[in-house]
Amino acid sequence: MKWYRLIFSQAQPIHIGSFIWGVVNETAAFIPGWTMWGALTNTYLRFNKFKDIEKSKEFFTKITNFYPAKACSKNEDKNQILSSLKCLFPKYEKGEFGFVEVPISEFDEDNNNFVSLDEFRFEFVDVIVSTAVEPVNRKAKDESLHEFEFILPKSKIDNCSLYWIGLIGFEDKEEYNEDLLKRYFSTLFVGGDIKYGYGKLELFDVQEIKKEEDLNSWNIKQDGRANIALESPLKQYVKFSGQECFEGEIKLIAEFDFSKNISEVSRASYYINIGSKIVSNMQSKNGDYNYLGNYFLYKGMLKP
Amino acid sequence: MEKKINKWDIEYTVYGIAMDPIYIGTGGYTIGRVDNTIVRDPITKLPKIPGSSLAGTWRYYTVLELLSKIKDRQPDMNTVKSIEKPTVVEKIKEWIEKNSNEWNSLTGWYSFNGNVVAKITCAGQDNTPQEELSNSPYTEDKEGKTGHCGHCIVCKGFGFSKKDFSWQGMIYFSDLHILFFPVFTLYGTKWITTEEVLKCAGLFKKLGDNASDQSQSSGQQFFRVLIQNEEKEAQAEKSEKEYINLGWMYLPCTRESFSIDLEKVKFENFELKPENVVIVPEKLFSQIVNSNLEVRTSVSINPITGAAKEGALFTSEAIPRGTIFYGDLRIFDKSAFAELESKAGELPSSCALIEALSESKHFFETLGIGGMTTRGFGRLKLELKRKETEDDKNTSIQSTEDSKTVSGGEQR
Repeated sequence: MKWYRLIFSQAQPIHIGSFIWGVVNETAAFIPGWTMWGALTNTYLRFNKFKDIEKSKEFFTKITNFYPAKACSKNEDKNQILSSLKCLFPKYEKGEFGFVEVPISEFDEDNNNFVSLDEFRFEFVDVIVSTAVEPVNRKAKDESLHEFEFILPKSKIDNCSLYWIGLIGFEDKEEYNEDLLKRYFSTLFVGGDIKYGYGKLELFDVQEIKKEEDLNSWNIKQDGRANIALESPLKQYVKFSGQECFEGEIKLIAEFDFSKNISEVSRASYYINIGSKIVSNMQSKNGDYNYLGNYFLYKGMLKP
Repeated sequence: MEKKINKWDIEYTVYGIAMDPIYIGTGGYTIGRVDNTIVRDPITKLPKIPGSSLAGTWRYYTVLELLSKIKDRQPDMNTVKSIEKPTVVEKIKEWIEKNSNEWNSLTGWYSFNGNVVAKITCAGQDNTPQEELSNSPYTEDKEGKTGHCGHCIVCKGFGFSKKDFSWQGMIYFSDLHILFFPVFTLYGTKWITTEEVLKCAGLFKKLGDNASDQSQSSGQQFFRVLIQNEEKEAQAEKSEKEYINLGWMYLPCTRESFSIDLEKVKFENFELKPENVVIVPEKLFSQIVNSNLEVRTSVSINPITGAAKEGALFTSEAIPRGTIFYGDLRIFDKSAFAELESKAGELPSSCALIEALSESKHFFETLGIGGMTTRGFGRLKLELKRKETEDDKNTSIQSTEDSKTVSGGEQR
């Protein structure tokens, strides 16, 4: 397989649906693989006039989660921005979920600055309060008050810009290359409320990944199988089989069919959350993790 | 392949000028001295008109415009319901066939088939989202309210969501940001902006030295306000100093020539002149805008005594009259969804949607946008300008090259 690293610059605030607490629509602090898959597939299908929908749904499934990256370079030069880019990869520290700041060329996540989720949200997340309006008398509609969270394209503290980084893999076919990515995905809309000035991402950089170690740091091998190092924070969700011993959290992830007003759950399973660490395999005597080698990357999740 | 991309989205720039102060509230937060604050960009702290407010209001006005033209031709809802066809789409077609004289005399976007079942409730939030699309035009909720019909040009253009079918809509709005902000100065009212804002809006182009001379000779001059550092201050001491007040701020300034495409920012009789534009540094812009917002202190009146009501004093802020905004509008061609016709019915063309928006925008000039529109707030004049695509640019480059050839290399 060919793997590409995609970096998008954020052109508008984005809302990644996470939870609804009362009137608050919370945003996630990263873009899950399935959300990015949805945005890519939708854009691709629109270009192709929605031909071969079922076939096209498979093109971009080998995709990782996308994580935020901060660039504080005042220089507009692309290389300068790239070299100053600090990726925010998920990690738990003392039981708290957050991100660790890792320069783009580095893979050592241990000795870098930890940014808790609260700190990230303080710096990059804001909220707007809104109501619906009655069409006849134009007053605010009863019980329509809602708050909507979004991730800002720039830091509230130091004006640093936000980028999004992740990987995508293609089968070795000639037409799936860098050009295809640049041609179709120069502009992308991701997340919620994209009709109202949210969700615009612009493709900033595409690079083919040739080194195995670059892929390993994203929990994958060249062929898309899982590669999970012990004690290393996960960048993809890992399907929980009940055999793993891990530190972190477990999440119930449901895949929805959003084609109807009341979305339907098409599949649901427990996954070990990103940022968690697998510390041992309870079933394995010699400590190998061969069974995880049968897990494949699928929209930000590793599963059999 | 590039051409394909450019033909995909139809993009427009929306320019707006506030005819009244505009108040779009944040929902009653009290920050500092102001009780009713307005929506701001969280990073720049600049007031803005959110895309959702623009979209919601425009949706309403499109319904008003549509109904004003077709309401006398529309059938009673029971008439449509009683037509013996399995789907609403087919019932509508049948009704149009039988009443072709009446319906077919309509032109343009008004004649869109689904408009047969359009209602005022196609604006605003849907009251019957739990209904199936096939029942949506007729069904009422417990309070007797009906919801989005799901068939008219408004529902197709702006989106709707029903129990069995959700449609995202085809028109995408961005926030309207401040492009030029009016401030009182000792030279009269000037419109302030920044280089960054002009670049974002695609209006800015710094001239080379020769071009600068040309533009000066043609009188294209305006102020450029700079905060001077010590070195510049010392230089300025030697030469003649110029100052300008922007509200309460008094700042040293220099005059420089720039090329700004002000042709795009025209509103009928209003035209922004280059000499009335002031470019300020990025870091000052928000400060100047926020200290020159319209702030009104009001009090409720006791109807019996005619005196001010105890504890009823409140303060509101608003974006002042004369502020010029810009934002984006794109229309996605979703004609590929034609196969869903049995469910959603036909889809409007991009042209029909732009027509609908253009012909309904006049309501912003009377009914306005945001809050307190019954108290002298909210009127806004809008202009829609088609964005130049790569195809257009290539064509224009080609035509320039052609013209060069014809005139022997001399630019016309």
